[in-house]
Amino acid sequence: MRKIRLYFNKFNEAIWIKEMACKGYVIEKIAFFYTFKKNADMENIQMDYRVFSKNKDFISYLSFMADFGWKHIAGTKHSGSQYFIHKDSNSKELLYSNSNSSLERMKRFRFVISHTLILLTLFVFCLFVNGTYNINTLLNIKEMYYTPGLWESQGFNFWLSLLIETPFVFFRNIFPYGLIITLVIYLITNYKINIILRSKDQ
Amino acid sequence: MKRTKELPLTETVFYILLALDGPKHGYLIMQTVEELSVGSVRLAAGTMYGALENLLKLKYIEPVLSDDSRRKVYKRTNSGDEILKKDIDRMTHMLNIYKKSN
Repeated sequence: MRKIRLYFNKFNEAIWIKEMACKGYVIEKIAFFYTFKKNADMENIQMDYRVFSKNKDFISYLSFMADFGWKHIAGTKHSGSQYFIHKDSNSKELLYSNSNSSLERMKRFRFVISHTLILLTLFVFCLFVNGTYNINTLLNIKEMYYTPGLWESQGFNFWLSLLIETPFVFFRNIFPYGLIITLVIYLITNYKINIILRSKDQ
Repeated sequence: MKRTKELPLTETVFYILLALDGPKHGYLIMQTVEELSVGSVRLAAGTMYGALENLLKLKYIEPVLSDDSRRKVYKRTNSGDEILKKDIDRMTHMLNIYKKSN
């Protein structure tokens, strides 16, 4: 079964994936949508966050984890989130045994987000400069719809036209709104990391 | 007293360096650490992988060419030997002053 969801924050994604696992759906593949496999007994799904540039490094990471009994069920060398399940289905083991290393995982996520943020900012800035976006159109949702006479129509015609154009509107405006969302994710993650670091100093 | 910012070593780092009295691969290091610490230090997979990455970056350990091409085998470098010895000296000194006063 496949589901379409957009998760900017990988830690929230991990929570959702675990919830699905409790319902009996195990994550199989993460591409543009999430593919699940129905399986009743896999409950201990753990997420690691790591990005690799060389395939060789990714493979040695996977065989390292396999040595410890962790079977890789989803994730690619660029996807960041890596999902594992323990080969011993009754095991309650975790991927991280101390808070420092678990903090490192959050820092890696923040690092990737910060790069995405910089690139998105540059890109959106260029799009503002060349006139593709401006403050007026971004705040006024009605103006995002180009279908002539949409807001004057009623009933079935209105809803049909709205439904058809909404995906286009979404993708047309995804960059500036995506930028805001990414910024918020970055700030929240950064805040969480600083809270943990501050509590360690005591 | 000679003091660098790398001292004191964390428990994880200390045990990993100590466990590498000969070249070992990741899972074996974890088992050795568990034995040496009599079960009190059990390193999970993610923690272990991250610790080894850090030690590689600090050049305290280095990979060793092995016939098992999938599993990376590690050994201590010279600076790894040095830093381990420095930490042992530090702890020995602390034990000695404790013993003297009791």
